[in-house]
Amino acid sequence: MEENLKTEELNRYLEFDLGNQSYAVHLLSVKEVITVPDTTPLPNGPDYFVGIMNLRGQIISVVDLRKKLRIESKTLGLEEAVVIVDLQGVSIGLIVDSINKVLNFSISDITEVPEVQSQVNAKYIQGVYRGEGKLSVLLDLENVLNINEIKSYQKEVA
Amino acid sequence: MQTVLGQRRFTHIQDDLTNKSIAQMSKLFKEVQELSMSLRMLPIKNSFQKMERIIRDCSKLLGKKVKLHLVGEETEVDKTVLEHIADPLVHIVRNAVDHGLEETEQRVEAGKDQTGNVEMMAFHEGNNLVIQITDDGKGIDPEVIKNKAIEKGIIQNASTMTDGEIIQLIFHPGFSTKDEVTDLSGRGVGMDVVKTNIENLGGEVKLASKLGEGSSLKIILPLTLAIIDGMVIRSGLQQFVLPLGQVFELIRLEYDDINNIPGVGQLFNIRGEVMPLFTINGKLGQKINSQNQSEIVIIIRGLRHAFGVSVDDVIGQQQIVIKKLGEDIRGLKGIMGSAIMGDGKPSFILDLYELFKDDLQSNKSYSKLLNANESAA
Repeated sequence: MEENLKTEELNRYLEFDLGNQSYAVHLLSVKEVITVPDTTPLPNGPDYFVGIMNLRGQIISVVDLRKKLRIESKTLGLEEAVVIVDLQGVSIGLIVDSINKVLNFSISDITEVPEVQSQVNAKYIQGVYRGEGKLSVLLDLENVLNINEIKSYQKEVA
Repeated sequence: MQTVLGQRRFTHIQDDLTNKSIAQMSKLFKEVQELSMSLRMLPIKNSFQKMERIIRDCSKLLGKKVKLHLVGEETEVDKTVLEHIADPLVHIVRNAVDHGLEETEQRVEAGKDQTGNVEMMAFHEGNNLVIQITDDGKGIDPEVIKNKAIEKGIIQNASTMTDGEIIQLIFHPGFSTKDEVTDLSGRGVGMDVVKTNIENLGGEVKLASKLGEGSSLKIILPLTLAIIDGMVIRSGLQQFVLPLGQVFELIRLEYDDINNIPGVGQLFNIRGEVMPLFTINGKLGQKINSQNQSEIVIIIRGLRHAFGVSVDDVIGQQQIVIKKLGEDIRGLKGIMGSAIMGDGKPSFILDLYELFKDDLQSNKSYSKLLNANESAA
């Protein structure tokens, strides 16, 4: 019984578009959404690393999620936005094609990752939510933005 | 404060009169800024001297003879940092006298001088301020700490812990080795508060102790609140900041003065001294777009090496607030941090010495050359 209750708990995800596909991240990890700011590129940085930005006096790294996941970006980028997420105390900005909405659903609505060839590496995906005739891929941001990856990049430079 | 720092924001305005008043204003702003800045940075002297009295009080109360040695009193510390470390310092010093130093008789028995010594040292280390408090007392006995910790239920079993880990337990809330509460100690609040206070400032506390020889507590505080004089340069389309302290000299080199030596690289001769020349554009992967007949070269003099770095343009000098980078890119080689420029955009602060260190070391020809310079001098 208790287990049932747990799975019925509501989950809130922020849904956004990358290319033609919808993706979503857990709302609790999202701090805010802003328009794409002026960024300062990091010399010799990886191509998905857009640069650093000034968020009210705090310096935050900005990553292009589309380049990171090797997804071709959509159209003209008029709706581009930056989602500021907080992952284990690290704040990072993610550029996405457009912000859609906040999804509410219970854990039982999440389908396991289907065994299909996809552009996105399977370890980046928590699951898939199927709602309103559209699929949303739930991203596991901590894996996507593997901080160790960036750190190992540091070592390469050093 | 940051807005004042953006002195160059209005440079595009053409009108003479406006420009004049802006210049006047900037001058005023700068004065105010410098004044407030000088108010912020205070020598640690005052806090240190307060310790004299605390030591005297403690030594009277406990009947111990104590001598306080102060080193680096002139070290300047940001006022806010100073305010936050005042209380922790008092506590640490009291601890050193109360727990650290032995009774006079024990000292004599151990073959030490009757008078115990407590040393407080402050200095800058890289981008950090370090305050070190050392006593020559009995040191921290891991056994005592272990037993107390088990007794108080802080730990169950210490078999897997190293001595180093055990002594860190004194930072645990509620920990005290004293059974009675006295004026000085025994409340079990103390070291944990010290640690929290320091950590709130973004610093860390390191404790080292040798049984019978004394303990040493090292407080490391980042100078992130610090403001440095920076030189703003342009490389490609991007602006960078160099700490002015690193810049030894700025020169303009004609192309004819630069010698390209195969297998060695670019060299130039300045007043009889031969130096390697690097380009910042090459290092930072910026586009090279110099069409000039000459290069602007910044000369950096390190402890061992001197070298020149050519940049596209020198924009000016500015006082900048060092901002920490996000944790994901912190510690990148050659990048000290970032600064927010007048237009609100962040720029990277470069540590040129760090950036070109490898080039200097990897190339043996340079080393030879530098040695030749040394012997010539």
